[in-house]
Amino acid sequence: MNKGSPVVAVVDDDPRMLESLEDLLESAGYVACSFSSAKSLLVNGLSGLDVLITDIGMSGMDGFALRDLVKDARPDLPVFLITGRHEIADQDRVQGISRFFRKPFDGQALLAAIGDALPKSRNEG
Amino acid sequence: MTTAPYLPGETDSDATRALQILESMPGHAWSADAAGRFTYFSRNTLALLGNGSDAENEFGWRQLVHPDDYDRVVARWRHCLEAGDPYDSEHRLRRADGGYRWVRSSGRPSRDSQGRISQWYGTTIDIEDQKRAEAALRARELELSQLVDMVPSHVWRLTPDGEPMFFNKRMVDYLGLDVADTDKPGMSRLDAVIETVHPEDAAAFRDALNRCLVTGESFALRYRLRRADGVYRWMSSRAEPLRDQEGRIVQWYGLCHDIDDQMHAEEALRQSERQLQEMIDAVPVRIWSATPTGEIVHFNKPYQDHFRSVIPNFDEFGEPRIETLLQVLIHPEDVPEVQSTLWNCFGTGGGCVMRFRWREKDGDYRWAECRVAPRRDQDGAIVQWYGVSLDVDDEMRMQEALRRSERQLQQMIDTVPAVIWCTTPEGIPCYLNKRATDVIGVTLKDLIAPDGSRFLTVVHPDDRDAVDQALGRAIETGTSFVRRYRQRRSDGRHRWVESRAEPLRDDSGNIVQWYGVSVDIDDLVTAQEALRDRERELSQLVDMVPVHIRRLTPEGEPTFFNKRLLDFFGLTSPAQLDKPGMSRLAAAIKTLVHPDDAARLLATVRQSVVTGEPYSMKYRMRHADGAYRWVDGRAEPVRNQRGAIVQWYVISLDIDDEMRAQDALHKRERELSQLVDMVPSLLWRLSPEGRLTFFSKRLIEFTGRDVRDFDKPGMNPLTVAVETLFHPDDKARLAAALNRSLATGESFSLTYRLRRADGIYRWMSGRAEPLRDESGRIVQWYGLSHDIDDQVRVEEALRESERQLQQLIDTVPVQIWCVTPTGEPAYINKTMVDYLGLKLDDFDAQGGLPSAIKTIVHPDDRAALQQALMHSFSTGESFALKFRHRRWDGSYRWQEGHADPLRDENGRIIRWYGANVDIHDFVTAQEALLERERSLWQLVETLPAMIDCAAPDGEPIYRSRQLREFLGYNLEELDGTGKSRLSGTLDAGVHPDDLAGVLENYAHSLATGEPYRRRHRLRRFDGEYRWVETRAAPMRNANGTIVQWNVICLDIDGEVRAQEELRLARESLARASQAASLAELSAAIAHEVNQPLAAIVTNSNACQRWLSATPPNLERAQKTVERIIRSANSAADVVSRIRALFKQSMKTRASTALSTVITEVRNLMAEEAARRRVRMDVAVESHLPPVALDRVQVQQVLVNLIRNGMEAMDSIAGERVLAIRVRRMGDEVQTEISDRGPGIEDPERMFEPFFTTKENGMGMGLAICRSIVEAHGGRLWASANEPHGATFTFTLPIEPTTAP
Repeated sequence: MNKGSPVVAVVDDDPRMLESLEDLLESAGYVACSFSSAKSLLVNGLSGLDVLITDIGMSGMDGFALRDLVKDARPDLPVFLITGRHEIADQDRVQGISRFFRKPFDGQALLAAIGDALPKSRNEG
Repeated sequence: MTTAPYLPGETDSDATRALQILESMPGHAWSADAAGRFTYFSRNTLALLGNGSDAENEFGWRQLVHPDDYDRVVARWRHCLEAGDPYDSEHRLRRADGGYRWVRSSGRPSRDSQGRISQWYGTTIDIEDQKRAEAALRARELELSQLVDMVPSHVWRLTPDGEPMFFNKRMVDYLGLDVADTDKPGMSRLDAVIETVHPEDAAAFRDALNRCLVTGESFALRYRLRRADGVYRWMSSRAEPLRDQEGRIVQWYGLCHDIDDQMHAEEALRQSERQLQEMIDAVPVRIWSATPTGEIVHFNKPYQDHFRSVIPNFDEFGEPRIETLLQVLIHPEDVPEVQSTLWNCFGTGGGCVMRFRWREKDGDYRWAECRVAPRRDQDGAIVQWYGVSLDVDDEMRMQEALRRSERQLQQMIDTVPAVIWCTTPEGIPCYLNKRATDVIGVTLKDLIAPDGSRFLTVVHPDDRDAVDQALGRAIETGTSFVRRYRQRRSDGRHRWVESRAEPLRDDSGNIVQWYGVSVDIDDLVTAQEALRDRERELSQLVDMVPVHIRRLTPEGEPTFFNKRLLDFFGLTSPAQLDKPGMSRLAAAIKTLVHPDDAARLLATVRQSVVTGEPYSMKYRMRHADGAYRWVDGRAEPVRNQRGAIVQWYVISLDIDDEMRAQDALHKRERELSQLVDMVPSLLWRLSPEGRLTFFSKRLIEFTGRDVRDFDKPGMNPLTVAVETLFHPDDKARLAAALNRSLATGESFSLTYRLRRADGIYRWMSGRAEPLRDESGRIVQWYGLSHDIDDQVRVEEALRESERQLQQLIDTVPVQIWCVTPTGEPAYINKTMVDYLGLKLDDFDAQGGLPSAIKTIVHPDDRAALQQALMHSFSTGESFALKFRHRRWDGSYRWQEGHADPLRDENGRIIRWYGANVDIHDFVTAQEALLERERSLWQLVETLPAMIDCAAPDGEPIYRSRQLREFLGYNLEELDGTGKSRLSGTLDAGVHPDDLAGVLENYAHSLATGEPYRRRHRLRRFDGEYRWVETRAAPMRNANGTIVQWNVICLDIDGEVRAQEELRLARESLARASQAASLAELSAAIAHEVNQPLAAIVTNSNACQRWLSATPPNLERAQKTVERIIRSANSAADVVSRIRALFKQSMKTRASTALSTVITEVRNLMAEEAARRRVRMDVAVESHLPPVALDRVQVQQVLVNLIRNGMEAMDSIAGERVLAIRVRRMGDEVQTEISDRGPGIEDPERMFEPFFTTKENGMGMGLAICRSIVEAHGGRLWASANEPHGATFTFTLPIEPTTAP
């Protein structure tokens, strides 16, 4: 992994999802940091992150709450929401959100979206 | 001086011409070298000066310049030479002829190329004439200046803009400063000058001056100016401008004149005038002045004040005119005269004095006197009129009053029916009034003897000497003269007169005159005499009548006692009775009337005096010998015509003898009466006809009535008395007895109740006997009533008491008996007689006690009774025994017998009194109770429940055997642990998790009295905690107070555990049904599957990337593929788990009554139905056979269908009813669930998976429902309702079937 590669944090309470996303991100040259809960991410801190991917349905703080909190602390940090629950996906509040992926999602599409979200310079690095 | 004269003709023509000019000009030209030595003089100079120049003196000027000017000129010249300044000087120059003339010399230096002065050129011009003119001018100026300075005024000059330029010497001297001194820093000269003006005038001065400076008007002002010594003096200042030809002001010339003295004189004058004015205004008279023609010019202040007070609008009056004022101010009656007098005055020029009435402010008129006088000048012409008005009202009124009084006096004197006369101090007559002349027919001189002494010719000769002497004595001593005598009248007859004379004294007390009056009293005297005669007669009459007569004033004061009365009292006049400090009446009564009667009499008299009523009264008067005698006094008032009392006449008759006789009678009567009254019986008397004629005092006191009280019109007094006095129950009896006695003359004797005054009836024994006269006729009935009430009542009380006792003894529900000391039956009460059915007589007297016992006592108890009785009889100890008696009906009943001895005073037993109480019922009841208690005890002890009783405070007091066995210890075993039994048991027995709740609830119940009910785990003897249900309820007494808590404790361990399982099942179902319908369940399943799927997809993407990287990262790809396999397996696991879920349900299928499932679901959905305002209409057919089913699955089907139906009705407006019908249809039980929603479109398709009409449904619910129902061997379908709505029906087979 290159020094200076964009760092992507992933939050999901399903270890298999964490593993697979970590794998995918690394295959695309990103540095992936996995967290099993929103709390553990927040303990780690947001500095040094370039992108955040979080599951919505989690015990404790859910993905929406985490996103809102991150928006306050790091308005510049792109946040991607993913969920396996279709009833969540059908909710009004996620309609129109572009950085939202319903599990199972197309890995290539996610990577392309991350690439778009990153600033050009970071993306190239 | 070495002069090198410039010689003409040696130079060129220009020089020549210049020289010619020099030589010919009308002056002298000269030149000098740098040292000042003259080098040239023009020719005429030399001619002028001659050759007298002297070289020895400096510049050679000594001879030429006037000695007075020399030093100055030389000094100047020397200075100019040194400094190079132009030289100018005027001086006298000596001419050749030796005369000096004034010249003006001027010189200017001429310099060479190096600037050094090489030569001086100058001229000298003769100015002698100018000088002379100047000197003349100066002399004249000096003269003028002296003139200006000597003018006895201040003269000053100002610039056009007002700056002082010049003060003359007088002014300078006055001010102590010159114009130059007015140059003060920071202020103009004018300001400095103004400073010397008096501060009060300074502003005016400045203003006036400034105005003049601006306008060019003349300045004129009076002001005070400060002298050098600081004194201000008044100045009159004037200033005029001097103008040039163009009219511009060049200078101001001013003159200032000291007018201080004038001013002071003026001031003094003004002051004096003011004072005069004030004086005029202040004097309390009204002053006016007028022009010679009568035009008013001045009214002083009192006048004006007066006008203002009288004329409301005086200040608007303008100039008051005399005519107007006259009309307004003067009494209308006086106006014409005042007016004419005044005009006459003005017309003739003579003064006048007028009196008239003047209107005052309150409308009154007051008299005023106005004096008017003219002032004339030397020629005698009238200059002014002056008037003064004085208020003479008091004077006028006094005069008028006096005049009136005088007139009246004169009239009086002349008309009084008396002769009025005066004498000189010596007694010589000097005045007689008119009447004297008319009546007596004498004139003054008739009364004067020829020798000048008085001659009382008119006095009756018999009286004359006495009168003369009396008069002489009066005149001598100066005392009053009073005399009655006969006077001769003009007709010659004599008449009685009364003459009085009084001296008039002057201030020093000397007698000036005697005034006398003689009044004709002849008629009076005659009448008096006649009267006196009559009076004497009357008096005699009065005195002689054998009665006491006296007269009182209307107020009751005695004024006259007749002689008899006086004799009686031993007095000579009523006045003898007077005592200081009290009225004569009071004094008389006090002195003369018996003390016992005095107060009464006095009150009576006073009463009569007040009311005017006559009085009549008997009282005792004290005789002169000190003995009191009874009199009958009567008084009558005498009234005048108006009815007012004039006199009281009182007579008193001596009635002493009668009174004494009466008194004796009284006394005897009283004695008898007392006798009668003192008899301790009630005495009364009846007339033969039965009229009550007498009550003794005691009877009156007793009844509160007297015989008179029974006199009522139209009623028989006896009847009235009977009605009033006697007890209603006795009236008839009494009346009958009385009437019989009255009719027959038999004695009367009766006992009856008589009403006492206080309303209480008392028993009386009444008796009456007739008194007969000689002929045997009944004259009176004498009666006597004797109070026997106490006896009667005691008797009655005794009888009553006896009766009551008997009643008591007979009615008490106790058998009372009495035996002799030896045991012989002596008495049994009625109760006992009734009880036994035997009377005392029935007992065999011979048989005695043993016989009685044998008769009535149960054979088993006889011996014991016999023994106990014998023991008591022999020892005297009380007897007490329970034994059986035979009752009247032959039954033996338990008795409790007691007996006690009655002893006499020696302690010997007289009787035994006993009482038997039937305690049979009690004994049998007790026995029954005992039996019941025993059986209850057994019940409690053997009951399959644990029972516990506790005190009101919760302390256990009893535990049933079951409980004791359960606990493994007895009630007392935990005692001594330091805890109460309750807390000991609870701590030891109740499961620690439940203990707090149990304690709280139990404490609450104990405190409030509410029943207690709780489930908890209780430790069994073997240490196992078992669920028990404990219930406790309070037991209350009649007052509602808790006396005990009864506790039952059931072992419900089995039920609780079963219930617990049930509860868990229900909870899981509730959770499932609350959180998720089947649709939601399927969503959860989808999520479960989605997770591994997502991982698989993501991993696949990653794997693809690893493989397509350059170079391909096979290691990572390999790892990723492993993960894909793992995730796929995990997804398969999910599917297996779901299948397992259904498999499991197959096992739990059981034969169940569908109705219970329906009920459970209904209860489960009740809350949701209420929330959605849906009524559930459930109809389940009875006696449905059981169905084999998986309870949870069928419940889920029902919940799903019910919820669908409810949701379908969410948007409808009408009544929301969900109907559930369950019925048997052949071999099936059919369940219908119908709604009133919008209905369905495609009854078959909707059961396909993923078919949904709902926004957030997955379309799995009905599919799963159908699969569940079909798994049970049933069917599920939908149909449309009419008019709207849908019905879902499912069937379940009755016979248990296995799913295919």
